[in-house]
Amino acid sequence: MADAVLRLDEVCAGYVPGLPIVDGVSLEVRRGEILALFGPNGAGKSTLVKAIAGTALLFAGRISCGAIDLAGRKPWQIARAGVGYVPQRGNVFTDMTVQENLALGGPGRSNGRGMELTEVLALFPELAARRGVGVRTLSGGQRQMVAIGRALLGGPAVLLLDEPSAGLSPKAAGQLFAALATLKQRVPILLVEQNVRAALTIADRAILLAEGRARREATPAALLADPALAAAFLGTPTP
Amino acid sequence: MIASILVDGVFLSALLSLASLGLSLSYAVFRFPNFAHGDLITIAAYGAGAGAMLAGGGEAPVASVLVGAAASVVAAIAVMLLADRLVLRTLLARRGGAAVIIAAFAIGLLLRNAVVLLFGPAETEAARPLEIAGPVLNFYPFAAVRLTTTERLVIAGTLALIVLVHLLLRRTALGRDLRAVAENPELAGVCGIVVPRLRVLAWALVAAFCAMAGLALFLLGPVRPETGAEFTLPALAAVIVGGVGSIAGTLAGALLIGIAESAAVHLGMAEWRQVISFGLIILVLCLRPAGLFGQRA
Repeated sequence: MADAVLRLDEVCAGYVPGLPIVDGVSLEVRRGEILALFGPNGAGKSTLVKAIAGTALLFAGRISCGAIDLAGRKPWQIARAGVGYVPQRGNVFTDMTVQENLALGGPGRSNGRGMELTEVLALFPELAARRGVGVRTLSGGQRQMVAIGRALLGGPAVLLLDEPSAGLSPKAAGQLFAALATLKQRVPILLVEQNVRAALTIADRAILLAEGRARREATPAALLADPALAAAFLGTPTP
Repeated sequence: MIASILVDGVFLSALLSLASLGLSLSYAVFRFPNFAHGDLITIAAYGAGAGAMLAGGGEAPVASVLVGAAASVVAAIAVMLLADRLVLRTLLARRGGAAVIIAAFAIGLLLRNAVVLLFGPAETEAARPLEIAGPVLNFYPFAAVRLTTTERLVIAGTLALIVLVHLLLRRTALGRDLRAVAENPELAGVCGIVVPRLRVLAWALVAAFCAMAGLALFLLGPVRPETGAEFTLPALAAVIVGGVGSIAGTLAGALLIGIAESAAVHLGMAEWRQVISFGLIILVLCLRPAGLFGQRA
């Protein structure tokens, strides 16, 4: 589609050549949307976003951000091509302050237009009073805000978030999802999330990934209405 | 006595700090103890000597110091980048922890033997160009405490270098990028930092620190092919006691070792000085395994 910002065609990826974890996945992230990627543990969700960001090996297929082919590029080249990636673990520099972490995002790291620092601090007001504080002292939710804020300052054309609510309290996760919902008009988001119910409340489309393959793509409403899926991923008993 | 112990200790600490700063940076960025570090200091010292001789030596003391400084920087950076390009980069990419340590040992031995082949095994003459250039600068505030012009310059130069390194790492975007690569290279990469470029820069900075240490050894003279290597273990100890990657920690470690060794010498226990200083190190590490300024994992 013309408004696709990120496009994957038949992507095979993993960590050891000959042992693909993701096997033939195609998808696109469109302007103004949140695309949720969900599935059981070991389905290849994190590997897929790592392959897009250049930290896992791409064995076959094509990944493009706008008109830029990302295949074979290094992580820093991919970041500068407009892909903002927030890993699940180790996504902040703990020996630095909040301000220093944010400064690492930009400007000048990406081809896109980054958000201003004031915009990021408006999105995550908790960070405003903690700019000089060491990241080591922050809560898990605040660290996620720093990581996402840093990615936004780099001016990404698309944002990849890997399990942003992992380890967060329900309140912190709620605040984070509310912020993401307001963000999507500015930057489309590919969201990998174990908290499927929360992810589906803010997503525009969702893809079920299982055993390295895209098994189903649908709107959140359609997925929520599917009793088998609801039982498997939402904890709702099958009627 | 106490004044002498402190002043000599501070001087020893300054020399050790010069040797330790680069080692601390390389340990933080590349995650291995670079046992070739001391031999690179030797290369820089001999480079300084060769440069100084070309500039006229004692006939033109100021010019010989300046040319010697430039030659030590060029020699150290060229050798370090060559070692990285030919050996270390490949081994580090393969994550060979033990292999890279052994390779560093081998590079150190290679450099030491190269110095013996080029300049001979004997120690160089103590040129002391600064003593020739500025004897009027010899001023001793205490009768019992004597520091030569060169020794005072080494202390002042070390302090200036520490301030510069601090400003570089804490106040510039380049320093921030270097710290990011040191802490988490994969995350640094996805932030858009060109990690290989920063690693080359880190090696160049390490070599520049070695050059300053080598220049100091040349100015203090005399220098032997083993002079730099003798600094490797105490410098590594200073880095580990202080906490890997911490400038303040490295300086504290160097100060601890420097003053302990100075005290041992002044108290007539010169042969015990390394036992005392390394005993202190063991004590510190038992109390704080991450080092004085190290962050616990």
